[in-house]
Amino acid sequence: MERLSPPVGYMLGEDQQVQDVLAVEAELLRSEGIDPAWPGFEEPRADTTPHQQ
Amino acid sequence: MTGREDSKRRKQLSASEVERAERILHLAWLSLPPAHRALLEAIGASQWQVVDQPLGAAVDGFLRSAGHRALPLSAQRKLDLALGVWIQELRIILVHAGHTKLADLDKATYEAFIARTAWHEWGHALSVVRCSQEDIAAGRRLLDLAPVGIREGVRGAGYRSSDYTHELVAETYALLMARRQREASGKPLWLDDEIYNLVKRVTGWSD
Repeated sequence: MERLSPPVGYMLGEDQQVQDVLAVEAELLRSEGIDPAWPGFEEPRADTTPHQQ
Repeated sequence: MTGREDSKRRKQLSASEVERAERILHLAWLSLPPAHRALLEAIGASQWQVVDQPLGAAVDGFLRSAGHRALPLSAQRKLDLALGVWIQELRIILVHAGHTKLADLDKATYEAFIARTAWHEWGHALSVVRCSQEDIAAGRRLLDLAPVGIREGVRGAGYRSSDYTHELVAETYALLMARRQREASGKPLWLDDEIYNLVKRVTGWSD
């Protein structure tokens, strides 16, 4: 079968932690007056279908 | 430490931990604008699976079991470090929920970051399929226009310059979704016009 280029994944730098990434995001949000606290997700209606394989 | 060595050292996720990650991905999917979900379905990026093994080995296994050639070892080693990936041939996104960088996070941080990883991968998939060669060639210049934290993050992760545009679109898409999740819309003040217009064209962003 045809091979596309190897997929490129989402990587963090060796010394970069999850908290560092979220701190960058929080700083950008704060800069425009948005509360960076994670608001969570609203629970979906019962009739939605998951796409998980 | 390689991904495989790393996986030997940490404990496997429990079934409930895998289920939790799957639930977050489902909710992240539902948080997307309906038009974006339709676009992702059209390009084959609407399926996902949570895995608990380094992604190089996981992608190789998925490809071979579907009749594709094995992934070269060098590509496997690089992917072992990743938190998420879209396999274009198989039309599926994989998220490594047991990645060491996700260990010991509190509940809110874990949920926020798994959602961010999913948003990043959906933005990345749209970028790979819809960016032009000119967009890709402009990656270095576009990255210079990005907010400093984003620019440093992409450069520090060791991507090739030919990946810069896709990573920038993916990161910007994840950030726009993070804003949307907080009920903010419109062009952010911190985002350059050229990047915003690229993301709008490639992902269908219309806020």
